Amino acid sequence: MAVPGYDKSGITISLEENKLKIVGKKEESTDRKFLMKEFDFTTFQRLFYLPEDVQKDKIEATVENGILHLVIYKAEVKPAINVSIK
Amino acid sequence: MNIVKVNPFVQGRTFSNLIDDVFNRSISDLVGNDLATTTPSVNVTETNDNFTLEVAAPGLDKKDFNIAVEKDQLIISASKESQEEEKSEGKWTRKEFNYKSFKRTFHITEAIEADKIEARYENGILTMVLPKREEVKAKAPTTIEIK
Repeated sequence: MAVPGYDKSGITISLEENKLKIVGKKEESTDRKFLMKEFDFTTFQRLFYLPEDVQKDKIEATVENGILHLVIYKAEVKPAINVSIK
Repeated sequence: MNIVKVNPFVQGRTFSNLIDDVFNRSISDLVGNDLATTTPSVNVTETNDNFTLEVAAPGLDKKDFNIAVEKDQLIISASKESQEEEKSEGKWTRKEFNYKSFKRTFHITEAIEADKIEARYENGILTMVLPKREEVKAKAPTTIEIK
């Protein structure tokens, strides 16, 4: 996820049931005079619905060069059990 | 890119249908998918002493950028060496941005000291400070004493 201008202090990630919420907030001086304004990242919020088969307690997040990386691991697939017929 | 024809005079179309047709599309539908996802956005601000140009280009490295001044044009280009391709064993399920390479050109006026432009790349934003020439800076009004 692209979060230009952010370091890790401005980003809050929370997980509620299967809703992954990413909130960003930073303070910016308001007295700047814009001649051209194509982007504004002072606040944002994004919500992602995670599928059931992920390991919710094993989500890793890193911020590097304005990109937030979240690694969400899939749940381990249990091998099929062969039931032998007696 | 698909060209979508809009004919407002087709029967059964209300005005709001037309508005929906025109505005319910994202910019990427109108200008083509590549342009919207590969060209970074730019903010330009002005102070008394300089102009500041910010390019939101996350995920690049300082050495990926190439900034040049040619006559009255400031050319910002970037190209990322495609090291990503090696590690991208996964497949995309969603792709909203892709800033691997781009080029944006800005017209700069005589008022800018081109040899004193400074640039830094931090947290995915390339910030360039373009200082104004002394003679164009707004000076504090001088009061003239009456003798």
